[in-house]
Amino acid sequence: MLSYSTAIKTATVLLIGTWLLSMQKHQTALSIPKQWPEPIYNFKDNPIDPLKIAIGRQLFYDPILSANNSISCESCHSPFTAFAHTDHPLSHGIGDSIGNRNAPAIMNLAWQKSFMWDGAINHLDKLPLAPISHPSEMGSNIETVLVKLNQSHKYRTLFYEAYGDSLINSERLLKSMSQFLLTLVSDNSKYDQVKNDKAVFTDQEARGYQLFKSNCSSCHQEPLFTNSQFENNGLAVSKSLNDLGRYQISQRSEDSFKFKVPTLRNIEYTSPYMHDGRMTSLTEVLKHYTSGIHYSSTLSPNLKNGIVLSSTEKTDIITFLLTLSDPQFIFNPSYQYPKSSSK
Amino acid sequence: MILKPLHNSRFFALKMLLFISLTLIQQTLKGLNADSIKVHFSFLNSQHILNTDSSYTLSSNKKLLLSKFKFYVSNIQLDQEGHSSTVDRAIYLIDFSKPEANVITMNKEFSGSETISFDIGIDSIGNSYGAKSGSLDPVNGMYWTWQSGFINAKIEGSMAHDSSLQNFQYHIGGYSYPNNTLQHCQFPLAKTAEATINIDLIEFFNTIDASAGMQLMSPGPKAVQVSKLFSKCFHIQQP
Ligand code: HEC
Ligand code: HEC
Repeated sequence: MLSYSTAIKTATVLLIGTWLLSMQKHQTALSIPKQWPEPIYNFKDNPIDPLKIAIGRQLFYDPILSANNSISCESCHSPFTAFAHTDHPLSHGIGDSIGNRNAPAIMNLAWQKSFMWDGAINHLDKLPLAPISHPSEMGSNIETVLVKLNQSHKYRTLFYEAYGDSLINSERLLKSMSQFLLTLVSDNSKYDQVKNDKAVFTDQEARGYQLFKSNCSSCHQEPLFTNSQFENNGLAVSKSLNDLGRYQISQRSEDSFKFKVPTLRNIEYTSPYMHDGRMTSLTEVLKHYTSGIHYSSTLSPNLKNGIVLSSTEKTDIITFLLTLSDPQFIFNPSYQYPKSSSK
Repeated sequence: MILKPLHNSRFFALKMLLFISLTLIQQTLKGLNADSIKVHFSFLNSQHILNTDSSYTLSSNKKLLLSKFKFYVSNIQLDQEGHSSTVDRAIYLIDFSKPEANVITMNKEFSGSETISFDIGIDSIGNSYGAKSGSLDPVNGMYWTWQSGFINAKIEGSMAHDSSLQNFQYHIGGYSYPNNTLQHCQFPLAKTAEATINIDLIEFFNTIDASAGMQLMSPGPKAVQVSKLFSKCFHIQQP
């Protein structure tokens, strides 16, 4: 027979154990891939927690964020194309309205200083407010979304479990969304495996890598494949869109026609390319850099003379770009539609 | 993606306990030492609450109707010559549609300050925070969603002239160079623990340049110009 004191001890150990476990899940941060810089996102203000990630994931796939419950974030950012939008050069939103920019891929956001092609958004937490309120994206607003969510038994339960009470306010909503978005880290492409001595480049990939380093990496800087700057890479201005890029935010003429240097990770999956989706293939992109540069006063000095590449060299660079594909990122089950948790 | 523990959870619990008890002690001390400083805000000479039915006459004989009037106040500082100054780091949203939201109470001992200064609006640091509740909550309608940044001041309403009615919306904001709309104000104080700052909106509408238009919805040189004019309409009322 169990003695009284053993029973008490066991109960205490169990209690403390569960308590510790429950504390533990509140104390987590993203791990940093080897050789990557420190993240810019401040995890101290929003410590990663699996329950909050789960809320963010649920919301990302839920059209409840749009005015007529028809559009979710996923409508424009599909996991199977590295969260880019591939059917349309310009984004398609509520009531089939067309936006004026190409929906970019979403990944490695913790390392990004600013968001959107022109850097209009300065903090990831504030980002969802933009598509939620945009009349041609989700056409709603944060106040309405909060009313709808606070009426949902499912969401009240999820917030109760994660935050200790069932109130859904904008801070909790936005922080939960950030948590899911922050977990979208792509760090396991062939390129990464080569860097970690787990794979080797073919001769052609290796040649492409050298050419990339001498011609492209001043802007598409490793390991994130962007230097986070705004640059004019010589695209001719589209007359119909007349998109001034960074100038629209900074109102400084030296920023006209500059756009944020995009990452090239998973570039194989994210066609069409550029801020207005004007190019559909990497061959077209390389043709642009060698013979399509459009001159203007803000053109990057690095591109003033165009880039000189033979056709074999272009193929080599493309072969290298394909080593930036990360199938594990594309097919990661924890990024996809949350089937099991929908109650 | 792997999630890893940040630090020992037991240690965290202890720290939390310590933190909670310290906060409690602090609160009690505050209660005992009840000195506080109050800054009241009014507009149009001692109006504290927006009455959307009243109208005011401008020098042009136009009638002014106000429907919304709110702005941020931050970085409040009380200075006494030759002594240390008291700075309040909080960001306050003054909203004349809410009776409780036009007075700032600072839980600080009053020591005969000679000047009060504050910023109208939110600086670049406050504009770059992550999600927050309270005065910085985007549900307050003081946040631009399409381009990160707070609206430092929002003045909305209409102007009636003869039978025509014209709506105006001034959303004054923008925090980065060269279009920073944060404005600094400084006033001498009578030696009391209460002060009233009046914002003379009649002066604002009498002086605003027709070129500024009736609609201001984004950062830029025009917003800077309007923010300067707006800050000039702040005056201290001495008892
Ligand atoms: C109607 C299509 C559409 C919907 C719906 C949509 N987005 Fe986007 N998203 C875009 C477009 C277009 C851009 C680029 C906008 C720009 O640069 O001005 C973008 C940009 C982004 C970026 C910036 C990426 C970067 O690298 O700068 C993130 C992150 C993002 N969206 C997340 C979301 C989230 C979260 C939601 C749901 C709340 C969402 N999007 C809903 C079209 C959409
Ligand atoms: C001067 C800086 C600069 C250099 C050098 C540069 N790029 Fe770019 N790249 C950009 C910018 C900026 C954009 C986005 C332009 C836009 O959409 O307006 C871009 C876009 C791209 C895109 C489309 C990405 C997407 O998601 O739509 C690809 C692919 C690309 N560059 C490949 C290359 C390659 C390959 C090289 C070298 C041959 C190169 N770039 C050199 C600045 C540069």
